[in-house]
Amino acid sequence: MKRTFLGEFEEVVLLVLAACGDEAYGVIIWEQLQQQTGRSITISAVHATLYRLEEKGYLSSQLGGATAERGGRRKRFFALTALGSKALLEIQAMRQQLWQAIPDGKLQLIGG
Amino acid sequence: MATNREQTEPPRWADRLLEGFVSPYLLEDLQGDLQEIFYKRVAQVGISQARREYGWAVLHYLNPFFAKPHHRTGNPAPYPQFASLDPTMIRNYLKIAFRNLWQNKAFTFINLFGLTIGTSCSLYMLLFVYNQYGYDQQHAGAKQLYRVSTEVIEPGGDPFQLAPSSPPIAKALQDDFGEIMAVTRLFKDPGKERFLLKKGNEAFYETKGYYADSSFFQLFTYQFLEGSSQHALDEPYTVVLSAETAGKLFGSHPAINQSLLINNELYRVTGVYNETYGKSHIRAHFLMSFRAGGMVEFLRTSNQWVGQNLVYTYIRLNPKADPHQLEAKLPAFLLHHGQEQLAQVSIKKSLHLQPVTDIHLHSQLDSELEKNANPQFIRLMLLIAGLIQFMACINFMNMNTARSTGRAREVGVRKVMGASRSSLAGRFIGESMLLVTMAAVLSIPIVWLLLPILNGLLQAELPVMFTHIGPTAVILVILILVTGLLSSFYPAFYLSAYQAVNVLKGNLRNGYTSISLRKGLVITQFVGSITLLIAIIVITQQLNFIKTRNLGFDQQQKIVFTFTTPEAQAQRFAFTTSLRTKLAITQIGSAANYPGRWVGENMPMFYQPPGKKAKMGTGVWVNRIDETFLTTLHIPLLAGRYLTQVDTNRQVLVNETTLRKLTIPLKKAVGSRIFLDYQNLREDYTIIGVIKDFHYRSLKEPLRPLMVLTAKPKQLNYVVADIHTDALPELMNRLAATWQKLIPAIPFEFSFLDADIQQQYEAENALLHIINGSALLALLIACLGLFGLATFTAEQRTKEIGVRKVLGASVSSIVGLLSKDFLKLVLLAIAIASPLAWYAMNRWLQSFAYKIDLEWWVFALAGLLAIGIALVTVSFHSIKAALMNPVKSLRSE
Repeated sequence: MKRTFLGEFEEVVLLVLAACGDEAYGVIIWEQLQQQTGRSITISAVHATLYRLEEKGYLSSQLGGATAERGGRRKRFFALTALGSKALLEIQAMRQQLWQAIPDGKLQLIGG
Repeated sequence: MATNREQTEPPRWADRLLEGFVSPYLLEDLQGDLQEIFYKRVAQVGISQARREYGWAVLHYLNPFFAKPHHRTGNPAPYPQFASLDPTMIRNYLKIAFRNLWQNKAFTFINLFGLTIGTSCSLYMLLFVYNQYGYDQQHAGAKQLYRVSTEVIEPGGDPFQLAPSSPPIAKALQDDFGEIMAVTRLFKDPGKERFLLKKGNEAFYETKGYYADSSFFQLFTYQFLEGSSQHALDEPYTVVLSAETAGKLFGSHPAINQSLLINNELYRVTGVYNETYGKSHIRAHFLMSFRAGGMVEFLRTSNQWVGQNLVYTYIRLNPKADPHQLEAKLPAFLLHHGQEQLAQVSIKKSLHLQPVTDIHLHSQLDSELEKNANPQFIRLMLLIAGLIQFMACINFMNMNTARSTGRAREVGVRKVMGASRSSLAGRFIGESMLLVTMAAVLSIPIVWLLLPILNGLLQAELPVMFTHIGPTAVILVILILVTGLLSSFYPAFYLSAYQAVNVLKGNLRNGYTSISLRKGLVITQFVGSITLLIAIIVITQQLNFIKTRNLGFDQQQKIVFTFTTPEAQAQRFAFTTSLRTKLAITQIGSAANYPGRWVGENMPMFYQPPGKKAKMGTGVWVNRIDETFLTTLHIPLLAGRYLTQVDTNRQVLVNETTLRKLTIPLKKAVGSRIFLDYQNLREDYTIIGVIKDFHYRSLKEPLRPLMVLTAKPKQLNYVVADIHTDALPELMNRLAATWQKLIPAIPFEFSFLDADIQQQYEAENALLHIINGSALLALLIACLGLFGLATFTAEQRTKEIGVRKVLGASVSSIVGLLSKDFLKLVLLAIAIASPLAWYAMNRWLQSFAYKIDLEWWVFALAGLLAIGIALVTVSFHSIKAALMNPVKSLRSE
């Protein structure tokens, strides 16, 4: 199987999800995303990414019990799968490696 | 009023949209999340802002990602309800459609070609027709604007309606009727078709200069680029220019308050208007104040209620007033003011109101300001556009059924795989929509490229269609939908009805109904083509008849020079004198009007036999000429003598028709006294000669009485010179040089008499061009259709032909066998088309006073042409089928 590629936004969503507690669903993730990244994001973009990640197998989801406050509609809770965790770890490792490859002093020049 | 529910919940349309679009497997949690956010936002920013945000958020879900069914781990995706609408399937359909088109290149080409021709043709014609609508809508309160037209009933003549009316009517209408809020008059000087505009060294002729009352802009809305419409024409000798005219005179400099010379009189520019703002039946290039001295001043203050029907009277009604009620009061009004004047002449007259917004499309009166739209022409355009498009559709239908043997297998396979009939039908419709859309896209550049040529042929002022993007798009979308549905309707239902089992077993039967339908369609195509063919022949014949008919004078090799300004007229004598010295010029005559450009005056004329009361009257055209004009045109004399230099303007010549109308015998004509009723003044004339009838106006009109008399020098606007030379360019160069020397301020211009006469038949020429073009296209499309059908038949009868050949049939007998069927169709089409064409052409010919007879050979010729063309088309396939090796066609058995 070829390595699945994770987009930048997908990666951020995965990370936010990983940081959330058990009860992570659309609205929570959306709010967290905006807070953590400081970007303004549409809810539809979050939904699309969540479903795409689920299709790719990085996430699993489950419907919760009925709630009254959202017009009786159930929440869909998302959780990281093993594949998702592995993908995040791999990315982290790769980043680490790349960071270490930067020669000393170069970053000062860049302004970091 | 919004209910409570609506005030506290997300917008319902957004929910509906979401529910309709988003895949049902995603809907619940999407909507839940959205609503949760919504209620949070309500608390933060208020209900209306939250509702807006909700709607906006929902719009973001309208992309294919959310519409497609999502497979979730744990719950396998159920079979989607509309598999055929799945994006993957749609992609597949498109792929198959393109492959199909690509595989049958010949069919695709024929269909695309026919459809492109049809769509281009329809697009142009529909744009043309569209452009005829919406005239005079730009004026504020356009619905309350009316024109007062005049109906004149001459003694012994047919009544005729004039667009203009007598000068004092406007003012009196406003005084007498409270419901009239404003009136204005417009005057187009019949003697001055062109004005010489001069500013510094710039001098050129400009047409369409009208005089208008100062109230003109209270009725008509014009967009002023310079100055304002408020008091633009209040002062004498002021002029308002169209932007184009202003540009010619002043370039990019402001024109306002500048002066210019119009026919050598000083005018001050008080405004420049944008002539492209709105379409109007008044297409003035410049408007001058009605207070401009001379003839204009005379008309402005005239108190003539019966004659002088020269000014266009417009009124603005109170929005509540009823135009019909007002019109009913007009006879009494006319009688009240003009009783005395009406009693003196035996002419009856009545006034009518025309809505200004209807004038361009519906008004066809005498002396219209502009050539208005011809409703018959518009109907014909629509009919032809529809016909050609329909013919292209028919081809498409026939082609598709002809290909059905091949397509049937695909249908069979798809049916076995579970495709429903409706999805198959939908696919055929979609496939033809694809082709029609391609044709529509192709037609845009075609029409765009041909627009100048077509406009030239039709004398149309159709703006480039990209200034009309909206209507063009609407027309194209409608064309695509109608054509696509129409052309795929039949194959969609015909092909999709095949039984999968039969198809795959190889039992393909074409029902009789489909065959006879196809034949019917082919006949329809040929009826259209043959009718148009007959129309071409008849119109060409009639136009030739007009061109070659002896008009009663010599129109060959005559040059016409125009002298309308006082400056030019002062030099006319010098110019004609120098013309006389040129060897090539044999005769020269001058006149106020000449055949081809005959505006003239139409007046009531009476004859008083000796010792009796005058009662015989007739309308008569009057022309003022010099003593050599009649001989220059070679108009023969029947009695008496031509005019001489010593004749007064009381000594006149009349034509034969005048004598007939006034019942004066030819022998007694010379010396008879007649009189004109001229502005209530009886003016007596003595006949000194009778000239042979000649057609001084177009052949659409019957010959009317004519009187010619000596003119004052400044009335002679035109000089006609009879030339006999092969070295025309050289002569014209010398004449131009002479003109330059004598009248340097005025550009040298001339025209040819025969060309001027032909100009009267512009509309007929345009019609011929349209019919010519469309007949050619129609025939081409019909032949393409026949070609397709021949392919089909040859394919169907391959085995039959094989058997016949094996049994010894000759090639020619087989060609005959195959062609015979088509010949029958064409013959039937001729039988149907002939009476149709006869009826239509007979009606058209009625518009001419002098016309050809419809002859049988016209129909025979058109029929033979159609048969010939059809045979050539069909023979390609019949010969191919006949020559085919029977081994090949029979082997599969």
